[in-house]
Amino acid sequence: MKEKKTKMTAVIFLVVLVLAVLFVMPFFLVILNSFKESSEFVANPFSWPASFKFENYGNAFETMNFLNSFKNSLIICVIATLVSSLLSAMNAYVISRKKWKLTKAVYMLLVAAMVVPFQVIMIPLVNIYGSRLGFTNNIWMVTYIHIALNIPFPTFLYCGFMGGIPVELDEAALIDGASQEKTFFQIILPLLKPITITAVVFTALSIWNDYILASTFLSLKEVKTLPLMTYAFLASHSADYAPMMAGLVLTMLPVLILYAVGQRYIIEGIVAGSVKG
Amino acid sequence: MNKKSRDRRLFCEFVVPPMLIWASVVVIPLIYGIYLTFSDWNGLSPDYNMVGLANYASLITDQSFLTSLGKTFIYVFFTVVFSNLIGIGLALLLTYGIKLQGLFRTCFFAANMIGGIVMGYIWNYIFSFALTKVGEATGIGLFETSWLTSPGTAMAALIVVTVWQLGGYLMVIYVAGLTSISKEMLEAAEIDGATGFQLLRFIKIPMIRSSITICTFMAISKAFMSFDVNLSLTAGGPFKSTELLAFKIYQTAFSNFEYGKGQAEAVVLFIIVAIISLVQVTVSRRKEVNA
Amino acid sequence: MRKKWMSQILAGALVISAIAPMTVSASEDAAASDEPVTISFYTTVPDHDADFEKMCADFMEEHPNITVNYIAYDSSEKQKWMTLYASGEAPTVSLMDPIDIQENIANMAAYDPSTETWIDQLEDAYLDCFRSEDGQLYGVPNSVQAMGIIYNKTTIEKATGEEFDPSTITSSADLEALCEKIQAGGVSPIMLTGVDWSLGSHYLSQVFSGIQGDADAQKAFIESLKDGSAELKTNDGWNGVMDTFDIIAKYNYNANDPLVGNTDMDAQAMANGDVAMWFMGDWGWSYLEDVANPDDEYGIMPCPLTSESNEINSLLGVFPAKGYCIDASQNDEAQQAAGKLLVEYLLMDKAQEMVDSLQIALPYAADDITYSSPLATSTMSYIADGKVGSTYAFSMLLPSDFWSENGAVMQQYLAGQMDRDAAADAIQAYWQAQ
Repeated sequence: MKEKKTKMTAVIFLVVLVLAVLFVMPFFLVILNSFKESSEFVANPFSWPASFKFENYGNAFETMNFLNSFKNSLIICVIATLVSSLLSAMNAYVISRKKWKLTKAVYMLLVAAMVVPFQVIMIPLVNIYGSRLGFTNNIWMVTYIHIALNIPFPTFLYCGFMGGIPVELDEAALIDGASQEKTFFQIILPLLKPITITAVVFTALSIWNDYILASTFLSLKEVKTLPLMTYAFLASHSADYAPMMAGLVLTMLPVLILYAVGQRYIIEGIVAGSVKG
Repeated sequence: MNKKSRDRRLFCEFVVPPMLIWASVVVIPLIYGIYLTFSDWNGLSPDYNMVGLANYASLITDQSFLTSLGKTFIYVFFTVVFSNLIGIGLALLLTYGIKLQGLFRTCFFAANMIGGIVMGYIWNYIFSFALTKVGEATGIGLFETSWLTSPGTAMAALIVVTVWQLGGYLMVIYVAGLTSISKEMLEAAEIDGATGFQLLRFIKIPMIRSSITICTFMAISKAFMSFDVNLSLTAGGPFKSTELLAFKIYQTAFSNFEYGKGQAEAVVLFIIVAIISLVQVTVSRRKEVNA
Repeated sequence: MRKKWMSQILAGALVISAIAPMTVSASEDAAASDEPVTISFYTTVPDHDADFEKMCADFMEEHPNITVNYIAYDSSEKQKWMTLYASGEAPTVSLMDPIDIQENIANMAAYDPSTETWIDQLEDAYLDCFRSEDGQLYGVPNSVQAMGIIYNKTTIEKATGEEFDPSTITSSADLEALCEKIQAGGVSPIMLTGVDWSLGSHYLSQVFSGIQGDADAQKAFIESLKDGSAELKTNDGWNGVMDTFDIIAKYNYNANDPLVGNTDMDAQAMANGDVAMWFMGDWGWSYLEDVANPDDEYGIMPCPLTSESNEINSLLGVFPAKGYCIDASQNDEAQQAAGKLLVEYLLMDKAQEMVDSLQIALPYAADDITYSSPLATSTMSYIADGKVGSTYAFSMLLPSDFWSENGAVMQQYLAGQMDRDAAADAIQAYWQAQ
């Protein structure tokens, strides 16, 4: 039995290894080509760099105004992710625990809202908040909009997860005299850790990579985010590929680290709390 | 304080703030946006005329809109099915307990680190130049010409790239679902002599029902909204054969200066997707309860 | 421990952000001419932001009362433009395609050639692309470009063993003979980039431009297509242009997979000497610049459009690529005036820098300008010789979606999925739906 299991594990390991190589191939290509000349990339995207051009990174760093853009991206991403995740968890708590007509309606509304194509609201949004209220070139405005846009999906995730947390936990706390608010923050919220990390990773990722919303509200260099600055390399018919690839690596590195770290916590979270027993 | 007023307070504290923020950003502009679909605004001019339902009426007879709608359905169907199969498959493999599990999960998720536009450009190179080189070297007919230059294979390429990216994304949700199944339950079943397949069929799949609901929904909405990859991988080509709806909307509203009409197309897309997802979510949630 | 470290960084970032001004105001009001005024400048020329920013900085040094906010284009050019307008940040000066300016003159301020005398130096033919129906001028061109056949003289001569003179190509038959000779020399003769903008916008536009006559004749021809009184498939211009297309397609370097359409790969093939000619335009130098062998001689020549010798085959299709327009809907008079100063400065004072940066030809004759792009040099010599064909229809009469709709038709034709009559019918149907 045990031997069979070991054998099976080895087979699965190999399968996963092969698949993983296929999956990270394009990713690997970006890194590889970030060290080449642009013309070398066009000639053969798969070749090993003739010599490693670290200047691409210096070039990208400068063209992207990296430190400033990074700061803008970071502020928007961190604040919007934390606020929207917390608000969503609170929202989902009431929606999943109180089966009123009103909460059901809110839930349906949010589900429908997730499929609003951004194009429909883009011009009206910038017209209202930019032209009428004057919040263009303001990263706090962009943060606010990200918070709003990232309430439906995490709420949806939390609702699915909260169904698996026994109501008896809440009831016990309430009998002990805790308020519903206190029950949520002290009993339920800690149990939501694994799904919170999932939600945070997804939300942070979509905000970090957001391009269209930032481009709608931010047009001056001082307030631009990293994805907007990557566009400096992308011309319409021809592109300066190598520094662009370097810029991409610089842009995605923080997210990759966040995911690698976050993903360890998912496991820890599961082990610590006996969720969904 | 009675229960009712405590509940009311909870609602005001927990539900009202997020919903107000959300409404200020989504609902108000949405209403304004729908209003603009009744106009002939070009997106830039200082004034415009109200034209009633003319934009919607023109869609019904617009052959290219209907064709694009049909193609979008085909694309969504294949994308949703395959990305979920791959997502579940990967999640099962990556919860089996092999070495370097965490690293592998990061690898499969990596596809989502790069924004869609750039991803499309990279795949464009792979299909146009890398695979054709493979074709030349091996003589495999399938790869001798670029997939992006004939309608059928270009659509297939679009689906492959989307599935590749979405599969790794959904995997994360499935992994979260699978790891939350209690070990005791699985061990008990194994001791009772359940085979791997039985574990999958009778324990794992039923236990991740809510993940399936979420993932199917995610896949449906992402596929319908698919724009970035469409733009940079095929740009709707060859000869407009891969113009998905979101891309077409963009073309109409922003490239052709027909903002009102593009907006009307977007509203139609929104209604279609909203109906499909609401039905899907309601039906699957009901099943979850019964399971 | 680590958590503390993280939170310190986070707190630090927050403090920095709270101190640093996060909102940058882009518009201020100013009345008198020496009062401070802030304007904005939006370009749709990709990849030259640093150069434009430097030119703006130089301008601000010369005009200390004017602040220019440079806006780089970071999404689709028109989407960004619309967004700027919708957010109340309409750029004072925008560098846009003529058709985009034309469709939005309601927002624009007219130039006044009686006070802005520098406009006199610009060629009238190019200015006409920016005039409204009542003759007001709403834009000035920043450059001119030419569409035609790029040739690598060195490659051609190596393959044929003969001296090559582009003026000897006076008909499509000559072009075919040349292709035959080059092929015999073991080199692929010519290439098309199978993308909709090249086929649908540039190549196909030749059917409606100079070959139909002057501007009025071109207008009349398109009107007759719309009302059905003329048939595209029996039109001589159409058939001439498409005969040449067939020749190019026959000898096309990309014939194996004609719709791949990648300008970088095509430029590489040209630079390697694998192919001798390329239907493109003088902007093609921006693709070739980095890869071309410095010893090779490049030039651009007209694409012959008739099978027998005809004057029109010696005329290069030159057109104003982009123009500067001034917004009047959200910018006050002081801003508009400052914007016009900026346009004059970029066009006249910064001509050499602009040429060096964008590798383009100027819309006026200037003796002291040197061109490093051999293709722009080629274009300028055609202009100097007066060998310029009309591109009126291309700049003025083709709607914004012409290239994408009919580019698809041309792609199907090139891929052999549509015959010539079917293509003509599809294009005529497009006109009738306008």
